[in-house]
Parts: sequence; C-alpha cells; structure tokens
Amino acid sequence: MVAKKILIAGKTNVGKSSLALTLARFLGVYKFHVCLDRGTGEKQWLKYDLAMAKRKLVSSREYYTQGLNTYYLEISKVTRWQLIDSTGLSEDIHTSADLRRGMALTIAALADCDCLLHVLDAEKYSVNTFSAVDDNLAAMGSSKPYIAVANKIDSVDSSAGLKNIQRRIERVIPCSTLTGEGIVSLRQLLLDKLKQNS
Amino acid sequence: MEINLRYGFNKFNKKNLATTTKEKIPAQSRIVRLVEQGHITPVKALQMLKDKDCQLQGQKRQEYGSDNEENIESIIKELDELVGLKKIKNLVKELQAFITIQRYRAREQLQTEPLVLHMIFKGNPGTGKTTVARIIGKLFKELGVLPKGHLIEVERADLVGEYIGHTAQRTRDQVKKALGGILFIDEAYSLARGGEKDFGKEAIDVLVKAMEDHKDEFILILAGYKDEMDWFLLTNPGLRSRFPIHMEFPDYTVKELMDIAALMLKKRQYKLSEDAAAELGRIISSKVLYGHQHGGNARLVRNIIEKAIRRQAVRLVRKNYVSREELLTLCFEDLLEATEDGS
Ligand SMILES: Nc1nc2c(ncn2[C@@H]2O[C@H](COP(=O)(O)OP(=O)(O)OP(=O)(O)O)[C@@H](O)[C@H]2O)c(=O)[nH]1
Ligand SMILES: Nc1ncnc2c1ncn2[C@@H]1O[C@H](COP(=O)(O)OP(=O)(O)O)[C@@H](O)[C@H]1O
Ligand SMILES: [Mg+2]
Ligand SMILES: [Mg+2]
Repeated sequence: MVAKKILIAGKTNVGKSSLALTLARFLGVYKFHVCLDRGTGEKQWLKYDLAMAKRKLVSSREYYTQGLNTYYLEISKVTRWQLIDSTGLSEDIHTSADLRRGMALTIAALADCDCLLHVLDAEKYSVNTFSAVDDNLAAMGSSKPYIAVANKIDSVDSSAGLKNIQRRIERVIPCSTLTGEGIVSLRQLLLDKLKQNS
Repeated sequence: MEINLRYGFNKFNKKNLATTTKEKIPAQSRIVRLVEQGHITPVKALQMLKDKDCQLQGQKRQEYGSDNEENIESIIKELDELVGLKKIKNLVKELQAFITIQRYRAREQLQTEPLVLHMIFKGNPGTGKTTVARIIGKLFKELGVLPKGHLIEVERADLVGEYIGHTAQRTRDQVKKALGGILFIDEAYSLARGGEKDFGKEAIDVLVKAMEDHKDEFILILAGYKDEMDWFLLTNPGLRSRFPIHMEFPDYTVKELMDIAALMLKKRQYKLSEDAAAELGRIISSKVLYGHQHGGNARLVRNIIEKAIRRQAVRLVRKNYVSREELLTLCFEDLLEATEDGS
C-alpha cells in the first residue's frame, strides 16, 4: 500500500508548518519520522514528537522552512500519509540560491503529489492585494485534487482577509492552527479527496 | 510499530521524490531547474507546469485519436456489462493500465517492461472464458498490442493429427490463422493426456516454438478446468514461466445465472411470463445443486433460453393471429419443453 502524498504549499509565513503539525495532531499521530530534504542530495531523518517538531520547525521568521519536510504519518495499520511541508513560494526570483533550490523542490513536489493543500493567510489579505502565487496555485486545482485553506482566522482583523480570499477562490476552508478551528472539516475533506483518487 | 516505520523509511530511500519527478517527465525537470538557477520566477514555473499539464492531456488524445479512445471505452463497457466476474474485470483493467503506461514510458524513452501477455484461464465450462478472451482481443487491438485482435478458438482435435508430422503441420496452420490475434485453446490440458508418446506433446512443442518465432505477433491463451490446468502446468514446468497471467473464473451463483438470463433475454428482445421466470429459477437452482462441473453455468442458461425461443416459435406459428405481446413472451410451457429432452 503506497502512502498518499499531500503537499502543503503557499507563500511564506502563512502557517504551512504549523498546519502540518496541527493536522498530525488531529489525525491522532503524536510521534513520527520526518525527513528533511534540502535538495543537496543528503537527507536528514529525525524522529520527533509534536512538541519537539514545533520547537524545531515553526518560527515567525520568514522562509524558515527551507526544502521539503516530509512527515510520515501512520494513521492506522493500513493508512499512511506523507504530509509534505514546503518552502514558501515568492512572487519574484529570490536572491538566495538555497531558497531558490527550496522553491524548485516545491515545484517538483507539486507535479508529483496526490493532493495539493494550498494555505493562505487571512490576516495578511485584509490589507495586501492578491498575490500571483496564490492565483496560480489555485489554478492547479483544475488538474489535480486541491484544497484551499484560509489560516489565522483567530486573528482580530482576519474577517476582511477571509472575504478577499473567498472572492478569488471558490471553496476555502477557514481555519486556525492556533485554536484548531476548521481543522476537523479540513481533515474530513482530505480523507474524501484521497479516497476519490485512490 | 517500529517495523512499520522502518518500512516507510526504506521505501522512501528507494523512491527519492526529486529524482522520480525528474525522471518521469523531462519537461518538468527543466522547469524545476530554471527555478533553481534563478531564470524564472516560481509564478512563471506554476504557469508552465499548468500549460504542460494541458499539453500532456492534449498529446494523449492526439496519439490515440478520439475514435480510438471511444472504442476502448465501449469495449470496457462491454466487459463491465458481464454479470459478476469482479476479479477478472479488475485484472483486465490492470492490464490495460499497465500497457498504457508502458507505452507512455516508451515515448519518454524510459526503460519498459517486456509485454508478455500469454495467459492461463481456469474455470468450468460456461463461466465466461471465451467471452472474456474475445473482449481482451478487441481491447488489445485498440491498445496497439495486437494488429487484428481476432480470436481463433481451437481444441485438441484441431491441433492433433493421426500420424507423425501431421500434428506439427496442423498446429502451425492454427498458429498462422491466429497471427495478429489470439489463439485460444480450450481444454488445453488434454494435450498432455497421452503422455510422452502422444501427439499432444508434439503440438505443445510447436506452440512453444511459435511463441518464440512469432514473439509479439500473437497471444496464446490456454483454458480449461482449474484442477486439470494446475496439473498440466505442474507436469510442464517449462510452460509455466511463459504464461505470466492467470485468471480464475468462478462458478456463477444462482442469482448471477438469473441475471445472465435476464441479460440474454433483453438482448434478444424477449421476456419471461411470471410462471416461466419461476420455473427458470427452479431449473437453475436444481442444476447448481447437482454440481457446477456438470451444470454448464452460463452456457446452460443460454441453451435453455435458445431452446425456449424455438419452442415458442413452434407454438405461435400454428396460430392464426399472434399479438406483439405473445411474440415477446416466453411461457411456462416453452421452458418446460426446453429442458425435457435432457439439455
Ligand atoms: N494567529 C495565528 N498565527 C499563526 C497561525 N498559524 C501559524 N501562525 C504563526 O505564523 C507564523 C508562521 O508559521 P509557520 O507555520 O512557520 O509558517 P510557514 O508557512 O511554515 O512559514 P515559512 O516556513 O517560514 O515559509 C508563526 O509565528 C506561527 O506561530 C494561526 O492560525 N493563527
Ligand atoms: N458473466 C456473464 N454475463 C453474461 N453472459 C455471460 C457471462 N458469462 C458467460 N456468458 C454467456 O454464456 C455463454 C457461455 O460463455 P463462454 O464464454 O463460452 O464460457 P466458457 O468459454 O467458459 O465455456 C456465452 O453465450 C456468454 O455470452
Ligand atoms: Mg514553514
Ligand atoms: Mg469456451
């Protein structure tokens, strides 16, 4: 039985890494192996629990995740998922070669995954104009299983942002990795999507 | 738990994400490289990826032509319409996917698996072996595996002659007829019946040689009762490795046989009166109880129906006036007579 690959992608700092860990928690997986791949040929394998992973892999700094971090989640004896956290995509060509390599890995994984989980930041979109990155990620939805989530809806001024996002993308799940809001619906939708294309 | 995790571990080591993606579609790896080298923005890469997706879909359609795809669809529909046979249907679809992907890989100049498609069909008479073989022939023609896809159905008597040399010639003739399609040998185990001295052995040797001389030019299907076929393969170990695909045709349940009857009647534009339907159910149940081996499965159903259709004709032709309803309906008495003379 081959594990399904779910790619988590989006712009930087939208909460991709946080979402990976929150999803794991809601799937009842508290300990896992994670493989860090920076595209240099060497891969690093770690065994983490949720708290440790959060300490090491989530930060308020931009472009904190560099490369693909693949979580191997054993959901049950017969169900395994690969949850792939990725480097945030920028609108422009980034000056850092390491980050460009990271983004290249995101693009490669995009072509290879069974489902694309697109994360947007509702807090940011209350002021910012819509990004070409998000428009183009959403467009991938017509060629493969796709789910969009608007994250950080716990934040006080996220409601305008959520509306902005909903105007651009047809179906979005509002959620917060901080409060856990919306994660149950996300989990259900993921299960449905992956069943459909198995 | 520990073992399971290690399993995931090894699996991933073998199947490196970045390299598999790169190998799969060269154009894609170019896009990835352009991002890495800073020649294009990630946004541009997303757009190119999307265009590539559309192009690929277009290409697929072009290569096989829309006609062709429709044909494949209607053949698969024909397969799906058969009653039961769930495993067989899945296997055929698996084969279809396998062949299609090997084609795509060949197009991308990737290493391909050899397509050895000779098969063993095991099952009692009337379980659908010939029917499925015929569908596979048509499917393989559309998939480009066989140029003609026709089915030549033979048995021992068509291959084995009366004197030395005669058998070889007859067998070669049948192979020749089957080139471009499928040679289907029913009750194939009977070729090994008489032991070393039997001419059946000669036929087997000719077939094995033909499989080498005419590689990729025809597909050989050996069919017969499960136990006999198992024994046949056991005593001819050289043959076993040449037939990688085995399909088992289970006996139909009473319910399935009734569904098959309904299907056959519908296709022929007949229906059963209420008491006739009950009678058919009774006949089928008793045959299944008596034992499938002799029951004849779907063939029994077909025989009953065809005989009943003839009886009905005799019954109606005597009448002065025949209504549309009467023309459509098979009655209790048609069925009764259909089975009376031991069929
Ligand atoms: N208020 C709020 N903050 C969140 C939420 N989810 C994530 N954050 C914060 O957003 C910041 C970025 O989170 P990450 O999960 O590291 O985001 P990312 O998309 O992986 O970022 P990079 O890997 O750096 O591109 C962190 O400070 C998180 O604590 C949320 O639902 N609500
Ligand atoms: N699953 C099925 N659904 C409908 N008709 C069937 C099915 N299996 C067999 N038949 C019909 O039963 C008859 C005998 O089937 P056949 O393929 O010749 O069996 P076999 O080759 O195994 O002896 C044919 O007329 C066929 O159309
Ligand atoms: Mg991150
Ligand atoms: Mg037959």
